[in-house]
Amino acid sequence: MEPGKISERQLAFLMVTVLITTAIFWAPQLACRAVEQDAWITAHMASVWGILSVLVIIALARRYPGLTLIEYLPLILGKPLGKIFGALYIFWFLSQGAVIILQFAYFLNITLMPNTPTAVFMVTVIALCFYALRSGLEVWARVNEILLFIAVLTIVAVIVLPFDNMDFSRLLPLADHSPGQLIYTSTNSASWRGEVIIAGMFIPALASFRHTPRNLIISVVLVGFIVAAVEISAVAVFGGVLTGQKEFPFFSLARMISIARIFDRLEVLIVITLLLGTFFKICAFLYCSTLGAAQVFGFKDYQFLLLPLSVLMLALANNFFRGIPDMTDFLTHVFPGTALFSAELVIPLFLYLIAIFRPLKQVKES
Amino acid sequence: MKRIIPALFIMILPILFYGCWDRREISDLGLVVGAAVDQAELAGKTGVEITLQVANPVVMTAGQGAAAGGGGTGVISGMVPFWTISETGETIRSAISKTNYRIPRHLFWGHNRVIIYGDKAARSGLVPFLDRITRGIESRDNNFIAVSKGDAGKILELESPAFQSTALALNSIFLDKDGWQGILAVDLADFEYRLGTGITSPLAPVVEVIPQTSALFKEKQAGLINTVAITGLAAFDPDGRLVDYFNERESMGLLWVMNRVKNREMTIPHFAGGIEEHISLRQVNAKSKMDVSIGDDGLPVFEIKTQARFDVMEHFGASRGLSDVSVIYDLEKMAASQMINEIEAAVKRSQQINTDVFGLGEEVQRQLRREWPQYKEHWREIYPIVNVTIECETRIRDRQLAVEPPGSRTEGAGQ
Amino acid sequence: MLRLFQKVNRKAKKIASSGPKQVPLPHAFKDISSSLADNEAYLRQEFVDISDIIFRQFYVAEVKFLAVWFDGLINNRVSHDIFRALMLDIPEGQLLEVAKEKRAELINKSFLPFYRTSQVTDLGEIKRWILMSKMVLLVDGCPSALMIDAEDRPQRPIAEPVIEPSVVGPHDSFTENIRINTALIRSRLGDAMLKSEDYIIGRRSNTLVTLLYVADIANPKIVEEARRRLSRIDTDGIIDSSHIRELIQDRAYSLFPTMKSTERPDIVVADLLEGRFALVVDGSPQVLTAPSIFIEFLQAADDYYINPMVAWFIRALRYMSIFIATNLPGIYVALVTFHHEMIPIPLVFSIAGARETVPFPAYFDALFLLIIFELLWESSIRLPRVVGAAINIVGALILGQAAVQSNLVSPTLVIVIAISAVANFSLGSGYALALSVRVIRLAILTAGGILGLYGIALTSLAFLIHMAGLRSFGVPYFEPLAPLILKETKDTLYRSPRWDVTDRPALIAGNDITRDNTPPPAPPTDNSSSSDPGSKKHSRRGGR
Repeated sequence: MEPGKISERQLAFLMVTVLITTAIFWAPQLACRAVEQDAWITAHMASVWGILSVLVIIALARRYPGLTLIEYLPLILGKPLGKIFGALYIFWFLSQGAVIILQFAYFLNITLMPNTPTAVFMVTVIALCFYALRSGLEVWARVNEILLFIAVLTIVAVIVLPFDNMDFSRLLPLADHSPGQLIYTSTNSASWRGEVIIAGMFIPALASFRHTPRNLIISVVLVGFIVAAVEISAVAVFGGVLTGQKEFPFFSLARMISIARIFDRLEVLIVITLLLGTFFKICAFLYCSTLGAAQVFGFKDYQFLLLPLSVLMLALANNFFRGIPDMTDFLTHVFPGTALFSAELVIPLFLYLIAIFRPLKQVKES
Repeated sequence: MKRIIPALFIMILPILFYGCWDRREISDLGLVVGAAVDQAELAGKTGVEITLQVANPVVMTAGQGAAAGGGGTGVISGMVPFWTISETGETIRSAISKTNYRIPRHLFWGHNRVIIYGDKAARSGLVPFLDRITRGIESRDNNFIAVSKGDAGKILELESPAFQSTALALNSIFLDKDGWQGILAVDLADFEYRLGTGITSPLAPVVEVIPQTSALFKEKQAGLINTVAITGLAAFDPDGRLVDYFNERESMGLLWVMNRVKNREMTIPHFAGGIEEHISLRQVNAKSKMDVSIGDDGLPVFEIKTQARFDVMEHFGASRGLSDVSVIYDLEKMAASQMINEIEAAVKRSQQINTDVFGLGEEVQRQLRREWPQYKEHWREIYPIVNVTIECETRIRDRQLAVEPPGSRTEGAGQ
Repeated sequence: MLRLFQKVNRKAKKIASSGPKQVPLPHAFKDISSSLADNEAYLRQEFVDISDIIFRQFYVAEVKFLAVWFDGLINNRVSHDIFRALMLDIPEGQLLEVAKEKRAELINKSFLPFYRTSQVTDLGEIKRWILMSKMVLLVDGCPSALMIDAEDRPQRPIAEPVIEPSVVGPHDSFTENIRINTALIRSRLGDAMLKSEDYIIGRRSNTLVTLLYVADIANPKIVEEARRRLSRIDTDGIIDSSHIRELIQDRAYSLFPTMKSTERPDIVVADLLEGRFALVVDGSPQVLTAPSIFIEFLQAADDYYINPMVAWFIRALRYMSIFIATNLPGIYVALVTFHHEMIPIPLVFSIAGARETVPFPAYFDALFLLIIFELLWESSIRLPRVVGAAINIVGALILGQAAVQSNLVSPTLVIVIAISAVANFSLGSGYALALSVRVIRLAILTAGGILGLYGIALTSLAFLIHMAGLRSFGVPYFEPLAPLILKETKDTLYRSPRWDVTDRPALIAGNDITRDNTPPPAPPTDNSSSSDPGSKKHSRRGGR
């Protein structure tokens, strides 16, 4: 179905973009609010959840080579149930994309342009996504490859540059919270890390598969390290309590940067660079939902579905939340349930278990 | 044609969109460079009085404009490069909104550098006064904060021959002289952090208006006789209420322990043959460390260990001696004892007013994790009575370019 | 069309017995008659109402000859040589001895002291040759004519490159004459694998286009694609190589050039050696090379002639300059109207103070100044050289100074636009890119005026996606960056010394990937290799 081919490196880079871009803005606040200075431990624990997701999706991909997640659902669950689950997955992709668009727009609204209607950001970004997806998977995966370098450099700059204000003793006492509390908090971060499951939609478009399992695990762990570094840096600057009280600790961290006391207040640049990453995340989810929709309904081509689905995503985004407090509440309490404990880990795990007990011969017939 | 119409749309539409949202020309802004917040009485209730220092860039570039434009820009005489405005309200924000009746510009906080709180506001508790500053996207956490003895508004309204804007002058002081003698620059993030711990006492530098001793006659005539100075630190209790002030000497002791000293200079007596001379030392680096243990009475005992290195900056005297290592060793001891005195003074003062400015409580939390919960609730009762021992180790690194003062005599020194 | 081409090719091969590869002629056929009078009548009718054509009849031993050519396209001295050879040197007996039909062949074989002649049997082709500034000689009673390539068109000498000058490196550039151009290339690349194919394109202009490629380096698929696109052209006239470029390049509606045109033979040779093909078009001093990638347009010939470390720095400078040229006015407007806090504090006062008296919003201010700059640029090209100095004075002194003084624009903005303009002119060899940058700058300026830095980022991203989606003859346009090929950044992002750049660009070159096997420079290792007795002594001492 996908005419373009992407390289293994492009997939890994894309996954890093997907995993890092929204998590870096929202995860530190939620983690620090729960476990203060131990937030960075939960970032690493989340990687373990993420690796589980990777293992499941890789195992499924090995069992059904050349097929996307949506395509082998009917093979595992039988046609009617498989299609239903496929539709659910598409809705999940769509809603996830909508939440990201909303996060993108709210974030811009809060930090850069409070008087600009949220709709302006949503429409412009989805229009660009539409253009990117029209150019093909190959093209935007390539552009992502370049921009990720810049984005990671920016993140590193934000982590390192406020060193003047850092006091690492604020990270002590270490592991002050009970393991149960840490694990519970980590599920929140893990819900972002588990988004690696969408690799299941990209694997068939890979030119080769050999290093992909390794690459995906590395991406998940790398993202864990970056998020942990952000949390360490934020706690060192603000302290654990205060970090949890900030709406966007990463942004507040960027606001502390001052180079040579002249070039300060550069957070806008940083935010913009990272928002470009968010753009690719929206692209990824929009791609998954269009490709998935085409496969569920058995169309030969997915390009023509782009326009209706991007409009649908926009409509969903416009009606999801009442505002930021609403969204933060969703991210804290509901998100792990809709993401990690359903679409990202639990459902794929069950799929794999069923697939094991289902003889492959049947698969070939259908 | 199929392509031309969308292309035209793309070209023309943006121009129609120009300036729809959020656009604000830089010349329409009133750039706030400093803010002072005081407590005010509003019909019997307490409210906020805010004083803002706003830049007036036309005046600043008038000289250039006139030179380039051949007198094109006419500047009305009497316009000042920075002006102040003050207003009262129930909240900081409501006070700021009220200023809009009286000023032609949109106030922009992105370039705000310093926030000064009045003594009264600080004593009643700073927590409510901080929220707006941390919430707003235009103001930011690396703004410096200070407390004024008396009305904070007075500080910003000060006219001085030395500088045009008090706020920018204070900003320069904080940037340049942080850690020098008793000056400690505290930014909002720092202050908020200490508030957040609930144990450690927040600190803020104290700003005072003092007479300018070097004022010219003409300036005195014009009434420009005052300037601002940083005089010590204000110590808050963990709930954000100002308790009392540290004087400069106590502040210096505090800075040693907080590892915030930078280019600290001190003058120590030097006895050469019964004659007292003075030697000025400059600290080049310093590091202090706190060790906590449980004492016999079950209370934590603290050991503050400070190491410092010095340069000899000046030997004000006529005797020889600095070429002798034993004299240098003596100097080191003198310096150490002076440091101990300073730190002791700071500890005593902080225990006297019961403010844990050193973060000793946090230190217990970090080093004695298991025992901490039993102190946690009573920390404020425990703190004034804990035992603190101080140990200082000093070294003199160099004596800059001279070994002995020129014209110094060994005989005179009676060596 | 293609089939016709093949047919013509076959036919041309059959006819052409001597001389180099013949030009295929896609034209109507009318076989030559053996009566000279008929042929003459035909040609006179074809060239009726043309005053600068010359029909010269002469007799050698009672045999009638007719020479036809355009005045001025063949040098008088050369035509004199031809007539001397024919009229005076042909032994009359020999001419009369051979059969009538073989006369042309005989003359061609033995009596024409010109290196490039051929026998033609088709009247259409004869007409074509005449139009293509050759001389055609018809012999009475013979059903074939002779084409004599004595072409000597008016031309200018080889000059210094004007658009892409270089400090070090070769100083010759292409001219309007295709033969000189191919010669300049051929003389630098003495390889039998450098193949050339001739095409005649343009129904009316009959322009000669030569496709050049190095057969064992170039990707056969790309060359085949070039052939296909060339043969697809059906147009009336080709005046410059840019016409060919427009007709065969990949994307019609794109701001970015996907075929490079250059006036430097050294660049063409370097491109051929990397596996690209070149198109030399008669009458154009610009040679096209493709496939082209974006980075190429940010390189200059000089990069390869100077110290690689310096070249690296200069390239970095150029990457910076394309950023400045496209983004700086936009960023200025965004900062001044949206993100005021990003301007450092002393600067914000001076900018605000300067803008205080300017009536227009920053965006229109910038737009106004930018358009004035574009006008100046355009007028300085269009104006006759003699008044060029005047426009400089008007532009630089009067407009710039007066606009600031009359408070129409702010002085800071003048600096911003000036820096952006300077950066625009330092973009390396790609004048084509410098032109595109002018438009991109306007787009980004507008985006910055509407949505601030967010708008700029969005627009830049749109351009980036567009570029990553472009292809030049199948090669991704943004190649070593997207898709990322780390190995090839050696000669694109920075520049390694030549011995380090061992491979040709893999996506462009099809066959022979290895370009360089030179070992890295190293000092002599063993004693025997050093002939300097002093150093021997030294090394022996060292060994002790």
